[in-house]
Amino acid sequence: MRVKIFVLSLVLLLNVTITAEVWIIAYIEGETEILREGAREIADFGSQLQPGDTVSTGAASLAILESSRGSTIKMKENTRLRLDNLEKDVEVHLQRGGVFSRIARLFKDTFTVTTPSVAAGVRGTEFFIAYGLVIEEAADIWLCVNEGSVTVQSAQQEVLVQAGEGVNIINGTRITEPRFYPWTRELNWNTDPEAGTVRDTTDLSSLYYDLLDIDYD
Amino acid sequence: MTRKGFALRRLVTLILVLLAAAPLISEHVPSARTGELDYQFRLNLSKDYGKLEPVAEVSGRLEEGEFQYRALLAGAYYRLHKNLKIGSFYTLLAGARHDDDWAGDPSGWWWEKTTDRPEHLLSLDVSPRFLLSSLPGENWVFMLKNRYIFNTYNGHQTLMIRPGITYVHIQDREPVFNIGFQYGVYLPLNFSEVLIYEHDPYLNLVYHLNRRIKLELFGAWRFRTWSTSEDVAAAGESGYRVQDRIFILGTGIIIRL
Repeated sequence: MRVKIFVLSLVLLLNVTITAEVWIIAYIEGETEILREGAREIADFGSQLQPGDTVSTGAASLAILESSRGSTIKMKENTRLRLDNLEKDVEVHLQRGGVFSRIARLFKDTFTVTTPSVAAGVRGTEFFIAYGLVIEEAADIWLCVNEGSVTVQSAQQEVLVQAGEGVNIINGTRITEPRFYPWTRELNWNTDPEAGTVRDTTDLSSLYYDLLDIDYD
Repeated sequence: MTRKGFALRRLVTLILVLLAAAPLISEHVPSARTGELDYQFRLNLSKDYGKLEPVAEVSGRLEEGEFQYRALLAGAYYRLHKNLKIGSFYTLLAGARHDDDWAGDPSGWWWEKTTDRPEHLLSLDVSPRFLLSSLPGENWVFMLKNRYIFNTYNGHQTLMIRPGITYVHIQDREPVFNIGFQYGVYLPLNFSEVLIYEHDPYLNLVYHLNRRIKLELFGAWRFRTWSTSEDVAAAGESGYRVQDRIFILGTGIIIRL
């Protein structure tokens, strides 16, 4: 009996591994669009996503993408995400806005969020990545990890960010030392609408030191 | 007697007369404090609620070696515009000295002891501020702090005008320290014989331990003019204006909750 269960489990496991990962839009608030082969369509609950699709959320909107293996990507408002690869090694490209990624534990496969200058690669973790303000030439990119760890790579650096830590990729290129940021406590990591609100209202512009707010007496 | 000898005698006489008169003049005139060092400390707490920022502060000052001045402030700033904040504050203090605290009669003069005398201040604050990003280092701020102060103890109304410039050193988007130079000018609106009764160039250095906690070191060169008190005027003595010139060294802890 035990052998039978073991074999069955192995078959199921192989089946899960071999079967192509399917991503759908599981939840929407507000407006979400899918750009597919040059054509724009309004996303709906259950819309199936394909490699090459670009998903965009509007103002005061959000979308939750879910994979058949249990991974989830929650897109904040005004976010644009290009789905470069949805097969074995999932790779998505964040063009603007921010996303919360909860990635089911993978075996050999990887999950990578890229921006024009950095790549954040994981194997089973929960993290947040978003564009900050443009202070120099390019936008800053904020990344923080809730569970597991994330390897952040830029052209010159590779930094491992552990749970509870965050980094700022200054000007989109220079990765700061990982450390705890108090504002990350305010992030809404929930991706289950039945468990409560999934909307995250963190305003990343408030993370920047406001020179005009100096009043010490 | 030669002409030169006569002139010398007149000079000596003049000096003797002045020396003899000095105690008489100074009897009803407070002596100026010059070159002395007072020490001040403060603990400033504030909470950021977006546009609204409640503030509380406790401060004290060692003057002439004694812990005389103590103040407790509570109020809030409100950000009306990116470049403009207004504020309203209440202060309970003890140990402040005013012109009329120079008391006595022709037989003797002294400063009233005010260490245990409570006073209540109500203040309104308007402070426009602007970035001076064209300056080297870019992170420069000019601020013009204007504060109207009403003292319920004696009805004194004061207008403080304090232009200042601050440089903030930022590394990896985080403030490391800032250094500021301000010049505070105090205009008495309904008291004193002088147009400006106090002015103080003020230099401060704030080190940011983190976003919440900052440590401050400051120094001020305080010029304070005392003018004729009520008692001196009532005694029929001649009026006076005396200026204290005191250096104040201070430390502070600034906490943003």
